[in-house]
Amino acid sequence: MQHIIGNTFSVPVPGRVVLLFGCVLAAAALAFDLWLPLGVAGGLPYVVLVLLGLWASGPGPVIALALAGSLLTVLGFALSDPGSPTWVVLINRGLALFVIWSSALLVVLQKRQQNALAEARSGHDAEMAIHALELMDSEQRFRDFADLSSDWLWETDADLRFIRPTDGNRSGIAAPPDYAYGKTLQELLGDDFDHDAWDGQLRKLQDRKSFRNFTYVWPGTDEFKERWLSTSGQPYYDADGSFLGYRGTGRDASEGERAQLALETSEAQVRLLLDSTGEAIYGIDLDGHCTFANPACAKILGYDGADELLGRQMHELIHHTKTDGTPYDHEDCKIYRAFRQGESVQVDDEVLWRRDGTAFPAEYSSFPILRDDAVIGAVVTFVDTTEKHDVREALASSEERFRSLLEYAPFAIVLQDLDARIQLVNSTYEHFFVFPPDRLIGSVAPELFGAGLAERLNAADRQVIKTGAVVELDADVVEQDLPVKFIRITKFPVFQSGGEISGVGSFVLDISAQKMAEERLVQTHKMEAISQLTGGIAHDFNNLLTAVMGNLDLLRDHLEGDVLAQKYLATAYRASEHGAGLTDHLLAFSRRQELTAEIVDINDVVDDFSRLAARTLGEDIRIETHFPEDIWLVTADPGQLENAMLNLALNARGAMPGGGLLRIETSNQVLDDAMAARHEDLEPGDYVMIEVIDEGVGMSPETLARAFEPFFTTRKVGEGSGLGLSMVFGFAKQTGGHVVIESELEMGTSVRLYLPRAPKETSIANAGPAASNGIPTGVETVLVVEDQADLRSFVINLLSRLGYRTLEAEDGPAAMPLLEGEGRIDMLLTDVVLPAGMSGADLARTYRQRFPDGKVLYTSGYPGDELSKSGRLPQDVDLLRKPYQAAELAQTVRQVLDS
Amino acid sequence: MSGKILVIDDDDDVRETICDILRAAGYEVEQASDGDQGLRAFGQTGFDLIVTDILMPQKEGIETILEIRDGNPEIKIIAISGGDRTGNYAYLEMAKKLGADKTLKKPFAPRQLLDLIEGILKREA
Repeated sequence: MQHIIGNTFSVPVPGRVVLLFGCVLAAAALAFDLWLPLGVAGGLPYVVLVLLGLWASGPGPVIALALAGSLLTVLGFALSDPGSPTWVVLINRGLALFVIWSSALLVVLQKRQQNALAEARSGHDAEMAIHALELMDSEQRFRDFADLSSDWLWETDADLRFIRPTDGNRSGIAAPPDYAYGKTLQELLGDDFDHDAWDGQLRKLQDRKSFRNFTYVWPGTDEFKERWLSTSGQPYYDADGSFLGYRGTGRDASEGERAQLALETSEAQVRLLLDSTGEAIYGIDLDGHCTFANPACAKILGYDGADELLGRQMHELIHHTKTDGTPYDHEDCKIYRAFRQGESVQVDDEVLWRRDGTAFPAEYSSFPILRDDAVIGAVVTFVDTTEKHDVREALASSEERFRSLLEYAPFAIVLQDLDARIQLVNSTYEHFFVFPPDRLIGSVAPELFGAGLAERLNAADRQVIKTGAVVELDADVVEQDLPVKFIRITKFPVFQSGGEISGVGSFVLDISAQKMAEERLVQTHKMEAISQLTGGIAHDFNNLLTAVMGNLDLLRDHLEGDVLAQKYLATAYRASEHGAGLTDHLLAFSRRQELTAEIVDINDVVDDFSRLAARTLGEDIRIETHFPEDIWLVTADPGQLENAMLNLALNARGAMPGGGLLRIETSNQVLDDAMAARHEDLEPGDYVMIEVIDEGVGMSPETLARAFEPFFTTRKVGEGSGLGLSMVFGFAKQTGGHVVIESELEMGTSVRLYLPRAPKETSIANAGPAASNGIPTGVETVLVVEDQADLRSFVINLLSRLGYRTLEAEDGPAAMPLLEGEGRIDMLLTDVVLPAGMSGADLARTYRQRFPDGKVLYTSGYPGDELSKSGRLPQDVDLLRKPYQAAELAQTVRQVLDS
Repeated sequence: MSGKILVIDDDDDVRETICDILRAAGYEVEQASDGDQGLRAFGQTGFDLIVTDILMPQKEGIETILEIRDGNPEIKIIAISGGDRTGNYAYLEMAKKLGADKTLKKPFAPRQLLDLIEGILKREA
């Protein structure tokens, strides 16, 4: 405690202390007075009592002490032995009394002077003194309260560091002053400081706001166990309004208070739960009236708030009608079973009704509310399952779609697990591989396919699982008697919802037809290439032979009379003629031979041929023929047809060295699109088929594949030219037909020659030579626009001679008056690049405006794609590249007109 | 035999051989190795008959026949070919359609050619 009054000469002592001390002193002075033989004589010891009064705070005790001293002086005179004469003693005692009272008077005066002096001091000092005294008094009270309080009082500085905390021990709080002093809460709580939990509190502290009952966990230390603390505080400021810190109280919130807190928290949580859940929850009493409802309940039912539902009869409100539209009797309502029978009820397929009269599918549960073992109502929860229904329907629909895709897919689909075991296949898969379903599910590739294919499939599976990439492979199915021969498999990863690969899926495409078509195409291209080659060779060879034969002839005249020379010349000439025969065959194969086109009755030709063959082939070969009477007529060169028949018959004889049966049959054949598509260059339509069947050695697949190639022969050198079937092939193709060989080793061979049926109205009688087959003539009107006069003249000349009506112009502007003329122009034959600022394409547009269905044929020295790229010509137009030959022009004009 | 014949063929051996055969048979013969040459030769002197190949560089046989025939309806023409064709249409057949009196497929025996020529020229006479 700090002394405010520092300049007094005495230390004020409470009156009772001075009096007590005075009593002791008085007793001592009396004892001393009595103990001396003559007493104190003067009674002076009693003056000491008065002097004691100097320490008293007021004049009261001084007077009391002076009275006590006087009394004791008289008492000492009476009791002590007077060693001196009585009057001396009386005088001395009287003097002592005088001194006592004089001293007392002086002390009292001194006290009064002292008070006057104090009053004379400045007002400020006096106020300060009073304030200080009050402050001391207040502080005393504060200390008293603090010491007695069960709360921990705390105070922080502006940095929120604890200063002057009270002793927490006294209130049972774990933290002693030293522990908290100088530290912030963060420092005190250390790692346990949870920013999330403190978020709101820290904001309040930052905003210098008061707070009440903020509860937190005061962490335990080695010395103190963990506690719950509830604290309240408010900021304090200096006179200028500057923030100085917080002051507040903390109390132990453990145990009872914590339980209360937990209860409050729990209630808040329940409220939060009810408010925030999407599930509707309401309670009803035994009469079915709503006792509470959460916001979701009101919202789902279309009410503005839960209050609107309170007290309402819920069944009548939301459950009045069944799904089929009939009224829902209160008695039947399952919700009420919860308290009628005291059991929980769950229903997932009913409808509830909204405030606006619309219904929604709902799932609800009803639980009885029990109090003291008696049911007092029920809690009902429900959810709007519209979305769930939709999802379920969408799922079902999706499954159905998936199933349809699976079942109607034209390709096989299979799903395997990570061990490559089949989990699912579609029916196409079963159809492809003719496996019963029960054998497929759970099986692996080696159990189904040959080792080679199985290993390839497994390797692909592994690759898919390892890389997650799509893997494609083509494979031929070696298993006999399966509908598929070639398959294309696309393997892809199947992911589970977590994104991890859960298996391998495969699409299996039957590419047998495609493969066979590709092979046929390759074969066709090969035959085409060989045909071009042999055609070219034959052309040059014919020139050679012309020169050789001509010169041999000249030599023969020159060496007339020389017998030996004539013999040599004859041999050379025969060889030349043989060469000419070979080139004939080559040309026949390359479809470049001169054919006469005649209307032919196949049966007549074959009948004549079979008679000839019976003699030619020898007795070992028996010939059987089968001709239907209503065979169609064909357009063909009868001589070449006979030639083809002869080649086939000779081949058959070669295949039956020991003799055998040769059957020749004819029949009418209608080839539909599908059948025609199996053969290159074969149009659907009516055909007459001649089939030549032997029972000879047959051909291996390898031989069969090359059977039509010129010079390919299985016979020994010198026994066959290898041109027979080539010639048949070329003849069939040139005639617009086709030839097919089927053969197996030791099973014989069947050659089917398809020849196109002649136009239906033709007959042998009116046929004559079918001249129309050779020359592309016409009677249409063609406008020829060409700036090169010579070329234009040639084209006009050619077309005129072929029968066409022709018009000519040297450029676009010159052509315009012709286009605007009266007659119809069936074709515009124009150069692409023309002078006079109008291109062929420009002219064609004008032509098309006048004749929308007219035909346009362009000619140019530039390739079509180059013209298209440069924009001078649209794509996909008819273009004849210069220089062209007369035959090409005639043929192209005819084709374009007929297109 | 008498008559003046123009032989047009790009193959030297064939042309020479034909010319030799015709000369040996007594005809007067001129030759040309393509259509352009042939047309020039034809313009200089009067010929009784022309033997022309079809497939030739520069000017081909059919174009040559067309040009010769244009304004010379009386001249006799025999077209010869190694039997080549384009698409479905035969050169020789077309040549016949466009102005050739006769056609002959290579290779041919000299006698065939001489018989043809004799026949044509005799008919004309």
